[in-house]
Amino acid sequence: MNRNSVAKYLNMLVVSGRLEMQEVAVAKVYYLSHRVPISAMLDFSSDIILVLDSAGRVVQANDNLLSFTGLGRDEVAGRDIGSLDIPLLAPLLESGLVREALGGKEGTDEITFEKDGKNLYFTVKSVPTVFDDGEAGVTVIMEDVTAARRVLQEKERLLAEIHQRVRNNLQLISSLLSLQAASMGKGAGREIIRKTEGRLGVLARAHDHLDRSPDHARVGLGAYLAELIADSADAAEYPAGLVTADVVPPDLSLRLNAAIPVGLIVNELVLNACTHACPGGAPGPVRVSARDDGGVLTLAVEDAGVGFPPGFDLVADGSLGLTLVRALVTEQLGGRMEVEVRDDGPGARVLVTVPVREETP
Amino acid sequence: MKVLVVEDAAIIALDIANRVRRLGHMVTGTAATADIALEKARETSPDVALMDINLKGGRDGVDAASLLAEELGIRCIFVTAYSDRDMRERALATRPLGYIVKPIRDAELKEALAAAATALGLDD
Repeated sequence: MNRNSVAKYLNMLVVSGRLEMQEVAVAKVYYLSHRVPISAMLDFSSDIILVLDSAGRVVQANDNLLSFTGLGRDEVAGRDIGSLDIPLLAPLLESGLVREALGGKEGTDEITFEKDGKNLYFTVKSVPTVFDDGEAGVTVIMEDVTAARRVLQEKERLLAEIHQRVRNNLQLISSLLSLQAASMGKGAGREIIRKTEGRLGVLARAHDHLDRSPDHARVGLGAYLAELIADSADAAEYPAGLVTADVVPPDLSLRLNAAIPVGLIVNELVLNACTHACPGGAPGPVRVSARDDGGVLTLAVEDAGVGFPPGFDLVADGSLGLTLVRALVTEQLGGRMEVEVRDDGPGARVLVTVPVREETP
Repeated sequence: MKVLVVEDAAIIALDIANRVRRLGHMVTGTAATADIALEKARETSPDVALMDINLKGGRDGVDAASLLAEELGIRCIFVTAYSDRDMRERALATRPLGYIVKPIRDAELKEALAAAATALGLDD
């Protein structure tokens, strides 16, 4: 045997894991690898582990599996897994996960198992395995994820409870305002309360939509604005059918911290349009549009009324509503707003552009 | 229509009763717990109950709705701060006449009461 053959043979032993090699300058030093039988390690794992041969017979079952099922080692060793009545493993055999792993395909699954009246959750991995003699087998690893699941469920429960409390508090404030309004005669005071109720309603709508969104973090703008403008029209006693909203793209959504100011802005502008756009005349259409221009939201509210008086100064001449809008647009959202006379017909247009770039929550 | 208001927050109960009256219905009473609701329903035989889910005492509004339906044949409109699916499903299993999420808006309340009146054949 020449040195080339020896080197090749040693290499094969390294690849098979029996030897380890270290290079020392130009020399290669080989020594026996520190091998521990994997069977000894399996018992220390917190997972439930089962090793099967190609015929589905139990080659190894770790301590965790035995203590979970209450079976003895000699009761399972060498037995066909199908003949053992282990309810925990039944879903795995039914789903074909074990069979697929024997065919060389790794698989993952989640199973729920009821033990002593409690639900336990497992993440199951089936790993194709090759034994020393080249025979195929499969290793099934079951991780108990019940604790993590419980934490997640608890978190969801708390979130739902907080939403419920927010709603209850909004209801309480709304009830106080409504009772106050009912106790007053018609007049400016009652009008103020109604407007305040409307503004509060915007917060409630935002929470409604947040709650309905799958991730509880974003508000779908289309449905949100549709409900908002109906509320605003209702508050202004304006025919609801004349107020329309158009959102592009239709699935546009905003985070809560943008959705609330945007909702308040739209509410004020629509109220303003409904109140001032047609003094004495027939109510005309009020159109709201929202468009996403790549991180910049363009909002426009148009009416077909008399328009703003010449030389109108938003800051000096505006009502509280317009002052709120200006503060929300420029101070809170860092955007711009313009008041224009429409060039495509009678009426005024208020144009608001605000950056809505995604920031980390 | 005769309406019983079941709501454990006194101020909200007062407001709901006010709104119901403004919409042209009669309020037969208000109740803060399932037991009081049952008692008042027996005394005043309302056509429908506006039912909060979160109530004082051991039984919640869903329990109270089942009791009202079974014992007195009175159905409910839920008025609740819960909007999560589980609670909604539990509530819908009692075959309510409506389900309103708080905060209440007059338009929604009006619609729900009108739909209930139609369902009960009490339209005038």
